[in-house]
Amino acid sequence: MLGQAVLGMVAGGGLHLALVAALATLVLAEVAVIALRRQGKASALAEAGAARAKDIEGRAARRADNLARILQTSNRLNTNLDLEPLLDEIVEAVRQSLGFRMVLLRIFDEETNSFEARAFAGLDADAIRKLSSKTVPLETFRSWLKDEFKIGQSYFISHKRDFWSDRKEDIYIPDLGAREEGEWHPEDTLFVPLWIGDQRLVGYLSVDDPVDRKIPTAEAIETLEIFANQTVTAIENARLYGRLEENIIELRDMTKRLRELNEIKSNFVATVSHELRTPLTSIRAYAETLARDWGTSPRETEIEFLSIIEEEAHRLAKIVEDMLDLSRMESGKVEIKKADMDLRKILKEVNQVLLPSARKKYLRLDLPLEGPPISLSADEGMMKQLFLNLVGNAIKFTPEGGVVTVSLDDRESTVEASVEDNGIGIPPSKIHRVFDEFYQVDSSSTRRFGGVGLGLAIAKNIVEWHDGRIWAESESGNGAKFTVRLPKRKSVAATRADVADVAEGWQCEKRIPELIVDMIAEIMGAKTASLMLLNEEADELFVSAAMGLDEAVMRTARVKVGESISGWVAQTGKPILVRDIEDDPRFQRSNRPQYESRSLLSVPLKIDGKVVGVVNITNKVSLTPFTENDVDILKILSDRVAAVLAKVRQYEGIKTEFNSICTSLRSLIDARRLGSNRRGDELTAWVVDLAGSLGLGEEDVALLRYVSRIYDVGMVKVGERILRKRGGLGVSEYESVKRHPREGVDIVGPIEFLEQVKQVMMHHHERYDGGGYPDGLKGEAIPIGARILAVVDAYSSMLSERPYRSALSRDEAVEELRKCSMTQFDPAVVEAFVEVLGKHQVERAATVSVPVPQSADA
Amino acid sequence: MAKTKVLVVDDEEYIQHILNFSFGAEGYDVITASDGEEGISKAKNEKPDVIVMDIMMPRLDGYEACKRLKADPETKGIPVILLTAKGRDVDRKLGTDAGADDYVVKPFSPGRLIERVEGIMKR
Repeated sequence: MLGQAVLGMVAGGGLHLALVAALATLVLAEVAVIALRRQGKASALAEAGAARAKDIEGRAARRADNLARILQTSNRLNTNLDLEPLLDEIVEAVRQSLGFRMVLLRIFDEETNSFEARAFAGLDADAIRKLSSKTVPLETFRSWLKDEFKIGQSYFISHKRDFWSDRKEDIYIPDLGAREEGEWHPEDTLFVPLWIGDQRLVGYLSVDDPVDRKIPTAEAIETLEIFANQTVTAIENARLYGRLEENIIELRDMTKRLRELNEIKSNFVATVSHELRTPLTSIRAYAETLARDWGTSPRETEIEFLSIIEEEAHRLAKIVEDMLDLSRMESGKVEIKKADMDLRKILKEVNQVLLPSARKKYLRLDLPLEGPPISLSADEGMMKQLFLNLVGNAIKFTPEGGVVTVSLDDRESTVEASVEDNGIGIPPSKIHRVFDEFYQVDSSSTRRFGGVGLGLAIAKNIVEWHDGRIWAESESGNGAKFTVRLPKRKSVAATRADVADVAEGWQCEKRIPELIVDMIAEIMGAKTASLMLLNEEADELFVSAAMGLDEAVMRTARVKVGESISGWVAQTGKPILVRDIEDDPRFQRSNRPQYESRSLLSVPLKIDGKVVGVVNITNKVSLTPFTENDVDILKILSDRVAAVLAKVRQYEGIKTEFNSICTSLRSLIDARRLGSNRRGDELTAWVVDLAGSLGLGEEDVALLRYVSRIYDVGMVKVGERILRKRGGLGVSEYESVKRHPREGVDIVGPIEFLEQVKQVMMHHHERYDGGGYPDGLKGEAIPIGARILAVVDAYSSMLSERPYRSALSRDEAVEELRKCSMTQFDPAVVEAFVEVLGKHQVERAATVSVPVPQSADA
Repeated sequence: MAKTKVLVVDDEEYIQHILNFSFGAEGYDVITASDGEEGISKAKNEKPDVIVMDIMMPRLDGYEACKRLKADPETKGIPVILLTAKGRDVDRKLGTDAGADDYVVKPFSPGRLIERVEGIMKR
């Protein structure tokens, strides 16, 4: 039939041809009628033929009309590169020209892997709200596309199929009034999936309430499909254009940044040349005058001029030295020789050097020179420079008669040193810029205080290479306090012997393996940690970075796949836990000298299911052996390490990615060192048991195990002062504390790929009654993992000493939990926890007590 | 013979000191100022015969101070020599635009500077 032929051409996508064919049908129909009339045969057959022809004519005319309109609309659509208006136009076009009063367009979002409602036509506000509030996951949508519903490329699900009875919340059922048999029923649904090629779904159209109240014919559906096909290109074009625009914006930003940097550089050159010329001017002027008047001027004048020359030469030399240092630091190869050194000895040297300049201003220098040695693994020369800069700065900015104080806090795994002065201070608006190069509080201070503003920038570099942190606290007019926190453990990277590529930015990625092992050691509470990578060609593992291992061993260690512990793990792709190497029958004597350890854990690193390396940890700081618990945590941690390594490979050369990874790793390390919660293992055990007894699945429990180690990471941003405060917190201080869940999520952002983990971290301070932070979620809306953590965290906190109150007993703590049930905590979780505690108590009483050494930060 | 009065404006103490010595040795009367604002007020009050002025100073820099001095009928007749470490062409042009009569780059020789001053005074 001619009609079919037209449809066939249309389905092939040739709209123009279809139009022509439709017109041709029209013409033929006309011709047929005319021919018949001419024949003048008024026979019944002719009559019937004429009627049929009329029918064909009518339909063809309508069809042509329709297709013409579609063609016009789609032409217009294709010129619209703005996505949102385009989507609106599409649904409007369907509503106006294709005979359906209600239209919904859902677009596929790759990030959420589901379809989002993006455009509506003919739907009321209520319906729009309902449809927008739910997304349709890809799998769910696919489950609706059964072959039995298929018509052409679309899917019509009749109400008779009873498909939606247990899925009522998935669709919107309009109120269409009473319908008769054969008419479109409110529960009928028609979807047109929008495909690109064969594989990819851009979205789908969902239509309802046909104008003619009938169940659409195959023809009508096909018309709809033609249109849908046309819109796919328009949508893709708009999207690509949008992405193009984003890229352009990004490029513009980068260009702007480059121009800014260029300007900074040329300003730098101008500033530097000016700074150098100033002392040179004096030297030259005084020298010339001296030479010219030699013998004729009084002795005192000659001596005066010579000492001025000397002083200015010294000033010049200092500027040049500082600049060379900074330039070397910024551009790359700097030798850091980390060795065990005594910080107190350095302070004594600094004191000696700076005492004269302090005396000149009648300043008192208060350095902690007496006391036991403070050992640290660091580059001695750099530490000296660090403190020379900090104390020297303090001296510079303190008025006559003032005091410069240095205090030391020797902690478990870090050393904190503060340099405090009572000088002019730093205004709060400028304090965050104080470590920028050439930053001066104002330009006149260059003259008054000397120097080009490089001292602090250099200090910051030194501190960061030692994986420490430096920050400033100050009020205008009230002095300033600079604090430095340095870790005591030693981490080593295998890439170069003493020369580390330490420049930030382009070479930050070389630091990542070091940061990774540091982070692993901190989170797992291990004394040593190593990251081994697989050299595929040689089929062996080499050490990329390690902490706590003998340097010589680490550099030469090569492990063949299949041999030794790491080799086995690399080959089998399965972790190995050795509780006690003495007792484990798997190990022969010959292996042991290399390890010198009792307990070790080795876990594979996989990218896309393929082994790319191995992570090893040995000897818990708490001296207890590693457990299955630890295996699970390390496995999850390794997934993140693998993700980071994959990112590093993928983003070679993209600085911002590395910087954010580095910052993330450093913050995690920092946060663990703060160690506000000393009950690591016990807390993890409670979380795991509680989650299990509440019926959570294995995977969820495993994730919670990992989260229990890092959930409080955000506290590191809250500020020491607030954490150590004795009294209650003021309003703004409390606000700072309330930010920590969000800060925590921001910290792990670059390395955490599971939304679930972030959700639990974000909401572990919500209250069951909705009065918590940050989002005020209520009851079941709070993720169960967060509800569990809330209870366990509170319990653990109550059992610990705090600056603002003493520790509670276990019974008192349980009493508190119960009191706050329904308000702060989920009552079901509290009850389950009390049971878990009961069981633990019974177990404890039942076992023979073995003295466990006091845990450090486990 | 009345001594020629020179006003030296520079925030560097040592520069003030050496210029004071050098000009003094040649028989000049020297007054000093440490920034642009002080320079302008001393110029109005003391009416020097010539001004030697640095550019990079706090509060008011040399260019601005020079512009103001040249705009003020009381002081526009006093020749101004800019003395500065900024030696690029663009800097010199800024100096000319500000109305300066001469431009000397640091490091300078005091003897040469005095020669330049004398040259300007003759004109």
